[in-house]
Amino acid sequence: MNVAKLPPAFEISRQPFQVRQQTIDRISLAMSVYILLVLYPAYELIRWMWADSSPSLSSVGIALLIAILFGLFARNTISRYMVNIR
Amino acid sequence: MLQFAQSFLAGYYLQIKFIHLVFAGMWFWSTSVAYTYYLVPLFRDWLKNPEDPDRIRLRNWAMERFDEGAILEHVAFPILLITGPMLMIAGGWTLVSSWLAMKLVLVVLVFIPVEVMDYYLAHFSLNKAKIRATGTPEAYEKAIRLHWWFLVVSTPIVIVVITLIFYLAIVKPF
Repeated sequence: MNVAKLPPAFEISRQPFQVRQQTIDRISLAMSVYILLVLYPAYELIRWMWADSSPSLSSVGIALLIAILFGLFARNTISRYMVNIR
Repeated sequence: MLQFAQSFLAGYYLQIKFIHLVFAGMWFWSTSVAYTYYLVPLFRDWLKNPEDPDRIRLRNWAMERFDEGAILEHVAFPILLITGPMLMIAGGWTLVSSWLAMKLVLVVLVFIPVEVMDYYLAHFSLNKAKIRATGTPEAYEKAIRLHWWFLVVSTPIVIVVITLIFYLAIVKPF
């Protein structure tokens, strides 16, 4: 590789990229809430409109379980990628 | 109109399915090697050594190349949005099928917003090479960091939801 052709390093880029664990936690929580309050109701709405099907307690439980597990997975994945967590 | 479209497209169902699958693969996997083995290691290396100019230059290079590499993914996505409904019409599928209802929700409420943001970051006003050409280091750095945030946050979404979409489309479990 011709190193001279690499883009330059600007002075401003030297500032450390710091991420708070609290920020990651909030993002992960927002994803869980999005599954539970947006994706799942949208799915049930379509099922109700097209198949005349109403949500059951077990499907709500499964949606809750998926939301929690996904939130934990997202938290773990994002934390692994962001090295400099405070 | 819908009946005419269905009778016309039904004869080409498998051909449309072939195109849909090829572009689904292109959409999902075209950036995976670049992301996993170039972008992520170079970014993590820079995160550990933020003051090293060589690492910053390599990071910038990887991100600018990634912007270009995302073209394949971003050509594939609109083709999926066209061939998906065509398959639905040709195959006579309706939203009575739960797998299709779930797939539709995931595409419309997860992937269309994610891809809109991705187009914006990679090709439009936040394209890094274009920003560098304007000579504004602050905007360049801000765009790089925002793009990194976006990629990291969307990683768990991509891993889980795309795999789920493939499963729903192929297995049609319910």
